[in-house]
Amino acid sequence: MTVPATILESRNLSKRFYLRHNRAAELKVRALALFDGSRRQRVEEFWALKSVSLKIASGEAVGLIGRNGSGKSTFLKLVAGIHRPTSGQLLIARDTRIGSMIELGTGFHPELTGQENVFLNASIHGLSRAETAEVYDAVVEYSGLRHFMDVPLKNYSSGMHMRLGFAIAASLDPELLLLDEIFAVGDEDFQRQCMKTLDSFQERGKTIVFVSHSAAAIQAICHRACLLDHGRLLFDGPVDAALTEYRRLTAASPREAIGPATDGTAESSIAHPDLAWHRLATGGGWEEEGAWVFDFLERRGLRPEHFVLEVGCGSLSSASRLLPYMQPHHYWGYEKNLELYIAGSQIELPRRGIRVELGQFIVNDDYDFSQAPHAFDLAIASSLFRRLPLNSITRCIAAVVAKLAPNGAFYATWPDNPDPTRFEPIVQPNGSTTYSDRDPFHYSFAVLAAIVEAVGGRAERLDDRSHPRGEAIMCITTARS
Amino acid sequence: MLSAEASSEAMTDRTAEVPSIRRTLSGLRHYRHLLRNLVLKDLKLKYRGSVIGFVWSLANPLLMVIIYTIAFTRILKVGSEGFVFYLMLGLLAWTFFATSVGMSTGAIADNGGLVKAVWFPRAILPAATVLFNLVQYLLTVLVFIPLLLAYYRIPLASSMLLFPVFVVLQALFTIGVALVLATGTAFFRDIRHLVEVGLAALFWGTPILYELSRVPDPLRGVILLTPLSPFVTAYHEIFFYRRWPDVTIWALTAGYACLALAFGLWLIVRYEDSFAERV
Repeated sequence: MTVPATILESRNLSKRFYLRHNRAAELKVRALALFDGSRRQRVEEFWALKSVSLKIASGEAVGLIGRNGSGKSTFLKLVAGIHRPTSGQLLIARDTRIGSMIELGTGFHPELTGQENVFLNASIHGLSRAETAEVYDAVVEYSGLRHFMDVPLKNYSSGMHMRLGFAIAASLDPELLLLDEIFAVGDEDFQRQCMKTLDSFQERGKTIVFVSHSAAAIQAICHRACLLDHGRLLFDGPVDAALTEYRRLTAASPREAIGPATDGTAESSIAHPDLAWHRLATGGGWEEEGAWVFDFLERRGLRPEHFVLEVGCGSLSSASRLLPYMQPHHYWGYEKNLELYIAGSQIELPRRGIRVELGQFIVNDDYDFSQAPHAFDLAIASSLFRRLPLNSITRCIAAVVAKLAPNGAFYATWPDNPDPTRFEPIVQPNGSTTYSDRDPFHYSFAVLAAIVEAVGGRAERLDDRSHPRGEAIMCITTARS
Repeated sequence: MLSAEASSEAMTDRTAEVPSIRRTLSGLRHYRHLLRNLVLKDLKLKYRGSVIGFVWSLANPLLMVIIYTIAFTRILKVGSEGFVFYLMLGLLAWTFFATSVGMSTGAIADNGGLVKAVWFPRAILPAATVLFNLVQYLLTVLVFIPLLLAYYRIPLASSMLLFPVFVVLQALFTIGVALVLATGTAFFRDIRHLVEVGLAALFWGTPILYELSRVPDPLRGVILLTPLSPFVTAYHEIFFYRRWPDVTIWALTAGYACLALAFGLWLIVRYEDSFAERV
């Protein structure tokens, strides 16, 4: 049996950088620290990689994807030996020749000729003069710059620069090739040439670790991809699945998902709005649920001048219906998950031309609505309790009831359990299964009503079956009214 | 079945690699062509595009000879004509040291692009700076010393054969200092300015414009101990006084060279893995 040998393995690999904001003052700061005895370090820690474990077999072509600053390049630089790992292990097969194309044409000097630069650059990568002389003709041939070899590099176009740089790198003939974003520049011909070269590398059983933002390049070269985010390995597996995860991630990140349209990159290729992760994260039916909340509240007497609180506003499906209707700043949305809120405010609202400033939003973990200066006439929590254990529900209800106007009402929906003494999974009217002890939860009204009373409210079950998930609905009022 | 242990035998652990002088020295041997190419690059760049090229390097010392001759024999009237020879010996050696040291502060700090993109023993960068200046020094000296010897009709002496020995010692000493300063500047940019000031002071602490023998006694000992004095004095001894340097000079030059080189190597080996984060 032939098992490909591991060529590269990282075990809980971590790399910490220190960000120094004002290095010039450092000597002074240290000197002063000696006097006041505090030895303060004015540096910020930054973990570029955190506990990354992965194994790459000889002959594999692995893509590293992730947003800017996710740690991809740091991983390459650790393997290349440019940085030293902070902790963990980085194992590399003994005597592996590593070729790095972290920056093409490193050390090129504009005043030197093409030929002189080839020899200088090759020696930077550790080639001897004789070794360089051996591959020199091949480099010239490959780069197609035979007539320019005695011309100073300053007269080269940027494309010619790239060609020469890649030609040298390709001639190093490493067993493990580290590539960082080499397709970001260069024309189509050059990119095709790169691809071909990488193909031939693979045919000869070389290992490639490839960092890129280009989904097409990753798909063309790699059969496996690792997704990094904030220094952590989020996903390791087939390229297509990794790219899907990557899209999910970038859709949540406003800066990269929104902005000028980009062609053919992962960010722009969300096929249908409903496949965006922030819509899926709330369980699908994004449009329906938003429409239902608006219709329901209207039926319950919603007026534009009311103050409304939505608990668990998610990616703003109901806000996108309510905001145009309500008076400015009368809609308040509360959400635990910052990324969902960002996706809503940066993707969904702009898509409809709604300004997020029309509403008020609170993002925290503990149902703290204290920043709202007034009581609420209406509050709603649609499909929220299904995600929460009873203690969280208690906290949520208590917080909302405390913020409710004397004749205000808090409407909450939940997957119903008709029998409080039963604990088996239940198939709900919409076909989903709920559980008594895990997410998605079901609860019996008797239990919820008891909680409401315990925190100073009154609960009434509505005979309304209109919720898109078929959840039951109750109306909570303050006991004071 | 492959056990984890068996598989890790075929692997080397990057994290377990401890920076060592041995690793750096074997790295330097492997990358000696880079050292050579870096020196050649600087030399080529310096003279590329100029018509008379290297001759320019002789212009500056030549001008100094003329100026000092006029200053010391016509204006100040403090020395014989032969004193200009004494002066040039020190001045050329000083220029080699001062230029090397001045340039070495940026050898790593100003090469961030290279240091961040490729691994190679970082000691190569300051060493290349010193060797580039050494080549210039040798070319100048090989023109000037015979010229001045002939002009002032100074007879040859066996002591002059020691010149290469002291040049090597001075080069090793300068490389050591360059390693320290290049490493230091990567972490503290202040060192660059400190070096400028330090060099200005050191110039007067080195017997270049004055004869060491004329310095009153307690001060003479101090002057002799300043970093470059033993080397400059050695050149004076072998060319100007045409005698073999005494034991003190030998001990000081060899000792300084060894100390600087050892400390410089130790320092750069200890910190070379963090340069990429600091430049």
